[in-house]
Amino acid sequence: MSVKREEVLRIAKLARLRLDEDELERMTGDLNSILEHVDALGSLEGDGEIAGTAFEEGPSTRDEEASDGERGLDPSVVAPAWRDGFYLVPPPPGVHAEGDGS
Amino acid sequence: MTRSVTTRIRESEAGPEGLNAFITVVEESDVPTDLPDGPLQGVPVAVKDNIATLGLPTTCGSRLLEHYRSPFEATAVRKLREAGAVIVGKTNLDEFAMGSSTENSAFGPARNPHDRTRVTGGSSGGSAAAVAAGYVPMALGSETGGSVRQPAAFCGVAGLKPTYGRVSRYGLVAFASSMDQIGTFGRTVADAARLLEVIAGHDPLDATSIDRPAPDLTGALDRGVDGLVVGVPSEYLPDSLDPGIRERVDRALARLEREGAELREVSLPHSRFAIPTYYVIAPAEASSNLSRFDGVRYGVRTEGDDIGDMVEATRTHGFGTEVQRRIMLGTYALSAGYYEQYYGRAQRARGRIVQDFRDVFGTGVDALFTPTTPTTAFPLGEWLDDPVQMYLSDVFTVTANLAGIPGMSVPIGTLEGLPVGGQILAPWWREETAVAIGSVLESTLTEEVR
Amino acid sequence: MSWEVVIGIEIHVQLRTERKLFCANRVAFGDAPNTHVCPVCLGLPGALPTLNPEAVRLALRTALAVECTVHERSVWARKNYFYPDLPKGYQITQFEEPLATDGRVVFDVDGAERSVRIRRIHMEEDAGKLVHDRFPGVSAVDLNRAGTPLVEIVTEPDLRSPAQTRAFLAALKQILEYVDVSDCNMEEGSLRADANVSLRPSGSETLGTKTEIKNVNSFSGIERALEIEIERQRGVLEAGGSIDQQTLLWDDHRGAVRPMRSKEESHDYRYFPDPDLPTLRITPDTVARARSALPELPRARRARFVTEHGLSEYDAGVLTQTAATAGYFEAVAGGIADAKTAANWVMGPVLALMNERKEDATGFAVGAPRLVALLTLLREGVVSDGAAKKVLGLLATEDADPREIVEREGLVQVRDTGQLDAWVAEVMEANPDEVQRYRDGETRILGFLMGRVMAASRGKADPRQVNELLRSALES
Repeated sequence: MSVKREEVLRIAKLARLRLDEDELERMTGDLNSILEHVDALGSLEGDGEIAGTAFEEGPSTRDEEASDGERGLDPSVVAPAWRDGFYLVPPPPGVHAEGDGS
Repeated sequence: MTRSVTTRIRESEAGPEGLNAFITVVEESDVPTDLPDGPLQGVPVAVKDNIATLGLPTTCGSRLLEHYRSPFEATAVRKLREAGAVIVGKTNLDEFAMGSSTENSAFGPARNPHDRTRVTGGSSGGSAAAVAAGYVPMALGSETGGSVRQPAAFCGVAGLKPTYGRVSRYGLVAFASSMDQIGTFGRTVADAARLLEVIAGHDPLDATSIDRPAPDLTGALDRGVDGLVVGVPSEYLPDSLDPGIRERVDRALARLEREGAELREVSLPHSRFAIPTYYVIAPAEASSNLSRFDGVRYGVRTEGDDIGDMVEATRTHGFGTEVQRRIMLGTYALSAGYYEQYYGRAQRARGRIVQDFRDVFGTGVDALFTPTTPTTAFPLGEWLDDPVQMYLSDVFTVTANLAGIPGMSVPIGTLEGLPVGGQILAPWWREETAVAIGSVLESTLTEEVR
Repeated sequence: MSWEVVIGIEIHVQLRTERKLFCANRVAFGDAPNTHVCPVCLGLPGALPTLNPEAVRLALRTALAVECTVHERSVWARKNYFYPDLPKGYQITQFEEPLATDGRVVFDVDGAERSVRIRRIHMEEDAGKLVHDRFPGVSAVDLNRAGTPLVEIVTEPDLRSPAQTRAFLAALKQILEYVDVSDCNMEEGSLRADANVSLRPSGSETLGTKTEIKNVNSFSGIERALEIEIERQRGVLEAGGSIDQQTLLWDDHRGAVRPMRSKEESHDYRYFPDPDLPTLRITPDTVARARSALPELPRARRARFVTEHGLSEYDAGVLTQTAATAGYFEAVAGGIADAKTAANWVMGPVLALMNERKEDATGFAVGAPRLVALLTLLREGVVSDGAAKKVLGLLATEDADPREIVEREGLVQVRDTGQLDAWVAEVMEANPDEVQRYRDGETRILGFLMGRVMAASRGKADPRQVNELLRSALES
């Protein structure tokens, strides 16, 4: 099966990526050639177990003894925009639009 | 003495023969003088730039993290420091470890020290090149689908990928969490083994790290291969394999046999599903792991009118082509209506691949031997526009990541002046078997060349 | 046409753990923004989640309290979506294999017993907060709440009216408080409910198209929101229209629902198992131990109060409203070996005083032992009923023994017959007319004379004895 441009656009939106015309063209082609390869999975027969690796045997909860409480840090040192203890972001669409501050 | 190492790296890298192996080299004045008395005291070590370090940038080879300095340190790096190692710098890589050539780096491609027109392999190409060039005796890399073993093969050094869960992933920037594992490069098998011994062990900060006794890898160096059963899976020696590589694999096998190993032909019948499986599961996990890069809390933000614009602009400008391709692929594989067809099937195929290894190791086979890669280092730019061809260079390595077993690549000769790597795959938690075999191949190769 | 209302509820309950679900930061409400954060709950590159066992214990308790089957293995999943208050771009939750399924909550509404089936209970982490009114023109993100442990409880569509829904939520909240898994504070967001509602022609078996109401932060709000939405749906259906499946936001100030913008709604969450966290395994042994550690639940306790303490259904209901009140009552009833008096006191002056002091039984200034001591003084006749009530008030303001206060305040009842006879004689002498009227048959004048005697004693006389003495003096 092959992926259509519209589908690629939908996926890009989900992934929060913007594709211009050329990129869309190229991405559609790339995805199709990769998926063509991946479609070999369709020939796998039967159900089989899906469990995989060693990590199935991992510990399921953290060792309270080992965690030394809050590993505090100052988030502002890596923040792109910060004021009075908050991260700043542009508002969602519609919020602040009229400058009503609500 | 170590002080001069960083200066030497700077000078070499600045010259016309520079490899672009490093994204950051530590300032000589920042090299600590008072080093803990540990097993690596004073040993210079390079660290792949997707492993968080304090005091140095951690860019992941991405424009998005160009100026990012992690406010915390990876467990593996902490252990290195406690062992007395000197971290000399952060090495180049494919952006977020996605690639097989170290060409997908926002900081330019790394170059192969054996031929500067060729790739180092990837994604840990900078670490492999740094070791191959003699800048450092050992380096940390990371693997998701062969990113230590493949560049080790291309650059002619030893590369060791431990069992999933052997080394803490805390501080390793996630690509595909169910397969990611920090691995080691060494000028020699012994160096790679020593480095792994230092970083191995349970970490309460990583729920997938396993509490197991540390392996005695240095003890395995002199074990030899006498009495070991080495399986040779036919699927890894297809008719299409480059005859030069085939010949070097055969010679390596002959040496193992001469040293007392029993060779046995085996089959891993689901190997043909490895690449399709990997290229569903890894991108699927990556698409989710990379969602945190939204420009809200860290990284280079590209402004936008509203929150949606900002996030889209940040990601579109911040991520390179290959990263975007994999995010798209993974998002597609998990999206409504396609999940079962792709992710569901891939999970089942993964189960079969695991079972293949269980079956083979369950019949008394101690380890498997295969070529690490189907080709030697290819020219820069050759496959940049052909993602599928690029992905196929992982064909012999991804199975170990899918199954979580340890794997190692050691040099087994050269082909037209370029290194050829042989791969040893061992059962879960049996790194020492890989080290024992690798060590024998290393020493007998030296004799052979001599 | 008559319509049947069908309602299902999803409740998010914040577990009262000390620390977050996947990191060691404290759970704190109302602190300065971004002060309880770390690499894990900020979603910094390379940070990994590790599971807090305390949260699992509380979730398990919750599941057992609503009679769910707890699964030996449950699987963490990622729910992927972008929002600035969601640090990793996904929420860690449970999806295909939740912690527990198939429970029920039994509750009373309008005197009848009803049961709502619980479809599933799963654990998940909370998001942070996106604030729009902090700075002009920009939004602000606070991640203190990010990673707080929640359980989501999902019911089957078994509710048939807004009033029933409210009663169910009250019953559920009571259970959660009994098993002590959450603060259940709706204003602080530790209990949040979303409702799915649809209408179908009475007698029909198929479900109508539902709408989901979100953003409601009180039980009365849910009842009102449902009433309004049901009327809206009824209007649409009776006009021959059809209902669009959509999500509605409740606006508490305006008392209205509004549709969520479609952009806020179009979701494809791409759930998949979280590779950072091993399968959660809970052994049957752990479940058994958690089950035996569960306290008596509200309905059982209420029933026992009726049979064991001989209380009315109503009184038992009041006294079992919270586990703390019920425990307080039982401690007092046991201490004085008199359930009736304990019930009257706890439901009367004690609850009144608690309300006045804005305390609950857990933090009430007069602990059960001191109330027992006071009521013992009352039973022994050391103090009068009125004096005892006065002492109760004093006990709340000072940490003293009731007897000390009684003595210091001079509230010990006078029961010395000589003294009492003297007061009686004094009053009879001062009020000859009233004495005569009594003797002429106007016996209700006794009350007046009683009052005079009590006044003469400045309230200290034992009224029962005064009554007897006065009566015999008048009739002799």
